[in-house]
Amino acid sequence: MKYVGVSVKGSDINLAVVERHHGDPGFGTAVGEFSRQGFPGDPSDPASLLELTQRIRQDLRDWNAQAVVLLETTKYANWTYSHAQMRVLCIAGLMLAVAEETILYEAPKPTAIAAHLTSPKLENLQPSVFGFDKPPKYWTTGARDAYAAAAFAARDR
Amino acid sequence: MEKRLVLPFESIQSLPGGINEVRLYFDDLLDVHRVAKRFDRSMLDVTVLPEASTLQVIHHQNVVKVSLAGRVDGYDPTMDVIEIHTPYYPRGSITDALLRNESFTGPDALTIMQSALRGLRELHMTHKVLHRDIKSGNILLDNAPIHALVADIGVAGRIDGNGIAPAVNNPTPYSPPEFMNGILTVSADLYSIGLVMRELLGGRFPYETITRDEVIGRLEKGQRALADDVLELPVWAPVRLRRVYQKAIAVDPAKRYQSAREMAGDLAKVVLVNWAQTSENVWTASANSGSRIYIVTATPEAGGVRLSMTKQTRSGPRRLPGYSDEVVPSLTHKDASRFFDRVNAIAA
Repeated sequence: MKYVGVSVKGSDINLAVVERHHGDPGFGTAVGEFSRQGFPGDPSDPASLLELTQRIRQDLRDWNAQAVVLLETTKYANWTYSHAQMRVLCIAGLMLAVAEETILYEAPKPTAIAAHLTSPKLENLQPSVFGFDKPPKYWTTGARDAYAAAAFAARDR
Repeated sequence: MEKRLVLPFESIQSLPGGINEVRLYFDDLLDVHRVAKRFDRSMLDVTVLPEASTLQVIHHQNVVKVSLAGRVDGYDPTMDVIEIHTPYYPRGSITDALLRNESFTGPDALTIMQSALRGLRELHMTHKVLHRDIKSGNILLDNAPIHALVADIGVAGRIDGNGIAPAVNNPTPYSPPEFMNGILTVSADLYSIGLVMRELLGGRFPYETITRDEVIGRLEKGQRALADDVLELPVWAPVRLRRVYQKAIAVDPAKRYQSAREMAGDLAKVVLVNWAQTSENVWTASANSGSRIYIVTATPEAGGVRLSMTKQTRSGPRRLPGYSDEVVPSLTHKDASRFFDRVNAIAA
């Protein structure tokens, strides 16, 4: 079974996939290609949101994902409009794609994910947890958070 | 007496194009047009997937759907003639559009490519199907938000556990150089879609001068089926797009894209401004919805071609500081690409 974790950084949406079967030890193994999608074009153009949605949707179809978890933010204030707009648009694209593919979706806080990973701070998460010999590309700029979310998605329920 | 089902379709015309009979029908009950392809299944290569039932299970907005299929009586009893009906797309294929002398803006071309690549991804990843006949004639055009659909999986094959499908005997100008080896992978379809991109950006290939013998001869030597000069991208193509194209159409399949997803990802990073060739040696790039227009002029002179760039202003063309003329050996030389890239950078 494949599970997708998502983190949004700036205008990029990061999607990571792990494979895990019910009862398996560990948090799942990274599989497939890590995906980083930039917002494709003008944020005021509806066609750009649709394009992002379709790109994410095709990733989810390629992976045959069972569940998607978005790492929610803990930043509740002091957003600039453009940053907030971009985050909301990326999440909107993700949610539309998930809804169209009828995939289980959750958006837990980092504390819930950290508790599952028994790692009080996600920053301390090691890439070896997911089978990497060394930090993969974008590890500290989105991939680590996305893999952490994917591990949460892959937990035994 | 058994009642007979009648499908009241009227054949309006035969559509030229492929090796099979294709008709345009009008269905007066549903008030729609349909396209029907009639072919003899007994003549198909054993590795070819059954087109109707394969299409039936693919539900994707960028892959043409099958509306119905039926057997056609009255042929030689050794034949197994069927007809597959699909929706009718009035704009037709990319080839149809190019033959009508339509051209595509760079941004439109990229949008069509992204849509077509999504259709290919669906075939490759979800259904493990290799199309084996990607060409401009098999990419249909539709309005937004669909933009493009992969059509005609009439010679498609199953991708096995090693990522391989055998080649079938349908050499075309879009066939990859490894075609005669008999072993194809996903990168074969991506080679072909790379050539489709070239036509979207630079206009149609000279179909009328390409012979089947020439195509086969080049493929037998492990070469691309088309000559290098035909494969050139327009001079204004930015370096990032050139890299995508070169990787897509690499002669060695191992050096090509190995997934439509990877190619789509790289194409997504390409920023194209709206270029148009307004006369033989003049190109314009419009940016910001046409509010900024840059003009590049090429003037032949001793030792090469002089390239100059101006910006269109209300008082006429104006040279920009720091953008002096440059003499390049030819328009296909990398120095010419570099010059245009500087214009791409300020226009983007």
